[in-house]
Amino acid sequence: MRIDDLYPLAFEHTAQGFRTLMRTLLIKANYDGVLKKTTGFRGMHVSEERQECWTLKFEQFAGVFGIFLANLDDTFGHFHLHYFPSPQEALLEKCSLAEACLANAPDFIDKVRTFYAHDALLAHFFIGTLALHVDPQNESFYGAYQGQMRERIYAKEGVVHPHEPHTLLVPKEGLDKDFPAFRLLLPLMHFFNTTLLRLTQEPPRTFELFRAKGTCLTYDSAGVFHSAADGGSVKILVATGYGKIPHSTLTQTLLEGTHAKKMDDSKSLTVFFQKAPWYELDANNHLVTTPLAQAVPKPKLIVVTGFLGSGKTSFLQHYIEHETQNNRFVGIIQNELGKIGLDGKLLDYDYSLVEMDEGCVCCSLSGQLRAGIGALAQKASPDTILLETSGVANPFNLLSELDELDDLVDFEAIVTVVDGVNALALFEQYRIFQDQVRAADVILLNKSDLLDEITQAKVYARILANNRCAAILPVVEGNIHPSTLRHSIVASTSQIASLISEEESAPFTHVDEGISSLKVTLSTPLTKGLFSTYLRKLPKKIYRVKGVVRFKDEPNPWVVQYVNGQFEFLEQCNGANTETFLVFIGKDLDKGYFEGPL
Amino acid sequence: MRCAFTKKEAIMPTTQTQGRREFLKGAATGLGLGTLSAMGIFSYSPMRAFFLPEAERKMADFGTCKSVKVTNISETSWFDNSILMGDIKGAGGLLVNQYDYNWAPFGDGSGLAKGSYERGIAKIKHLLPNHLEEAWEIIKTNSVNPDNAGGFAALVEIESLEGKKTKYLLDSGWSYAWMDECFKREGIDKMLQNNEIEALIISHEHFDHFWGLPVTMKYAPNIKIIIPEGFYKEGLQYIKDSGHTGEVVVAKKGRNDWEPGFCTYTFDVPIICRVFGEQSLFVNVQDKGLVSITGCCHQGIIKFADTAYKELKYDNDQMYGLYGGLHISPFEDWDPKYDDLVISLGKWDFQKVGCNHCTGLLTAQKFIRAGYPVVEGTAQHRSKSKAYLGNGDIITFG
Repeated sequence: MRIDDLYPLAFEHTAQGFRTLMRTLLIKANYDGVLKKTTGFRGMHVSEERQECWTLKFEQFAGVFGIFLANLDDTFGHFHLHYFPSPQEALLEKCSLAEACLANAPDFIDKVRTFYAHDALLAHFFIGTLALHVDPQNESFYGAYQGQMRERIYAKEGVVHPHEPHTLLVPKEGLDKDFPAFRLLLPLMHFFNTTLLRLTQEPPRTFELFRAKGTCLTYDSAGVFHSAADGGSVKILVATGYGKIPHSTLTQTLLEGTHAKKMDDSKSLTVFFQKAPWYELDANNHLVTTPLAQAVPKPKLIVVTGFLGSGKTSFLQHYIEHETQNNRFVGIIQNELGKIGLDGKLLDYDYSLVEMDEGCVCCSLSGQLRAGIGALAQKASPDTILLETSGVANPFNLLSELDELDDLVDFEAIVTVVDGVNALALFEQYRIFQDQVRAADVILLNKSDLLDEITQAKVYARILANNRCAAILPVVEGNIHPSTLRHSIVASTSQIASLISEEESAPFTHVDEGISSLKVTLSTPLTKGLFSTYLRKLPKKIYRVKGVVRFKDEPNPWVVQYVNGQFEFLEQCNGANTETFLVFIGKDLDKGYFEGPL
Repeated sequence: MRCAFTKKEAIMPTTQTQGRREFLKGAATGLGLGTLSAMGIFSYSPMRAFFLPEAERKMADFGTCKSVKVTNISETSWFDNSILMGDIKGAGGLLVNQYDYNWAPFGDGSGLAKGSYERGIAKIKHLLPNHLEEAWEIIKTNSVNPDNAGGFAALVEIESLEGKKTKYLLDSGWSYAWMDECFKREGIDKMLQNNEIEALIISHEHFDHFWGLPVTMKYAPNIKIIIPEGFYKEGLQYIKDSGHTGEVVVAKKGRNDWEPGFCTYTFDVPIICRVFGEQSLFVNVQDKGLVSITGCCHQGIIKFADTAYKELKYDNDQMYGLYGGLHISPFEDWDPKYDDLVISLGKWDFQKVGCNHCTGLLTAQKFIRAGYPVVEGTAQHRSKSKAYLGNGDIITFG
């Protein structure tokens, strides 16, 4: 690996040199859209209070990861890795009581952002280390992760409940902390290896796993800590190396004195890594560059709907500017010719705009949308496509075609912009307005600053009566940060988080490589009771279902909204000619699985 | 001292778990670590020592000057954002090497993303720097979207405490045609010819700040050029190929002093389009405070202001003025509420601010609405808004 390709300064084996290297890798990772998708990377923050440290978040974990350069020796720069759990998450129960108290403090997240400046945070929440070795002359780069399957602390004399002297919070010689540290190293490993693959277009030369006996800590009632070998815990070392020369000496240096054994290919952990998208062996069992190295991300599709005067245009303008500031390109598809649309001059720059012909996008869909998105992607490869539907369009008609675009775009959400001030009147007057609210995944309640408390409560109630599943975000002048919007789209993050982090017996799983949507047309009416049971039993990997169905003994069609275990049915009054269908959004969808029960 | 237990099963029985949960709910109401020891819980004492020295506020005294005046020669780096972003995306994204795009002036006729510095320069090298019109004609036929190219350049005049005025040229833009027109409009061509400009400072190797170098070379091939540490080999070669005959000074990472009250600081950060390193200008104006001038500030305003605060000593300990492009940070924050330039800027209490197109129009307008001391421009010569300090506009500090 050419180190000077990573950055053109001569690498110095100093604290500043290692920090610059880490900073460079992290910033470059920021610029890569595919990396975010395949690793769930959700952003980072650098703090330089007292000393430089980085915090990162990933989709599948609710907490915050921390990295800092802890020390340096002749061979390695040693980074320490931390995980600061969210006070709400189940993982916190595996942390020590001291850590749990810290996490429940009201200013915890603010402190986490600058964790190097807080001794308590440096002393706790440790999950493992990353030792880096760089040898520019030999074009060699080596990183070894070390972590324990369980970080354990025993309370020799137990811990007594402060208010109930006969209750022990931790029994004598019981565990105060029993944290699955190694599991939390996985997203970081996945992230760095994917970054290196995409930056260097090279596979690792070395990839080896070792195991050794782990250690645990115990404390007594005087607060004295002792370290001991813990028969139950295991310490793992994962070595990854790039470049021209072998790295075995480096690994041996790290393993000295530990009696570590190499893990062979049959071990489940090894098997797990072999499923990583950056890991591929050729016929001779050598690591090769995988397709991930060259993957180009599909644009995200966000459907923006809203009544005339709702503030849709302002929302689009703010969204575009935020994305542009982050060097991302937004393409717009509008289906209003000559109507009040986006004024390029107003925004100081043009964005790529495609206008759809022939009236309402939602009435004459076949092929239109595909052609429009295709044309946009050809012209400009946008990161996000905003499809602005006309102010009187019914997004349900749109929904049934969205899954057919799965190969072109990643459907993200239907966003409905609602004029808070006129909402109540609009509910009364226009069924289309009601449909727009019902179809939404996110509702932006605009002009929220103009609503008094009573009206606001009424508007919320009315919206909820029409859509219990959407996130409702109050906004002013349509201004909302695109990331806030994204994170409010319920389901993907919490679903996958629960898959990986909470279940004891869950096999290690990789982050999704792509969520897809699947449409099932329904030819016969359903039985309401059976359908409700069916929805309740849906596996977690399906996290959204939207559609229009007919029930036996019901004259009208019903709208179905299912998100994250919650669902509701809403009767449509005039939808006699609506197609009946369901769109499922999740991962690993298999069409056969759906057609059966329905 | 050995532990008494080794093979014990690590169980956390449910009653303990429930008790623990209840206890922790109460913990949110303010049990500090200090009160835990009474119950037998101890803070995990750090078993690891961190050997690295901690950073403190250095407050290096780099001198004082009387005033600084910035004339914007051109802030319109390009004219159509969708064309530019379309090219970047089409070429493969933000990590692709800028020299490979087949953009002006390094077009070789083979189309987007199939170019190289060597093939591009070969077409025009013999014409640099004295036959720029001819070169630009060739460039137009070989490059992708050549008319979208504009460029950034500014004239910075430092007035010393004794009243002596020194001129620096900050950056040299992109398009030969456009930059030559701007140079002539502002009289930069004559200043260069008359040796009135002390040095050309290149903020960073980006196409819109650096690739118009031959235009400066046409009028002053001998001028001292100050580049930040982090240029790639193509950039270093281009300085030679542009016909430069003078001295090249590399401003290493960190602070570099140029005259009393004026220094630059090179930030070691990677930037989009395979560029590395950006230097920003700091001027300490007597009785006013620190004035910061950036080309783009890709390192982010947070890093930029934090660095100034930690490293430099300036009058009244006050961040006085700011001119240039503004990005919050090269990172995308995991908490979007911190990705707010309006709030971030407010923390530093600047007294005089000039924005350009890098800031973003809606953001500049938000600054104005938030009551920030934004100096507005005249929106002339293809600059798009008065909220920017635009082409031909001037801002003085001190």
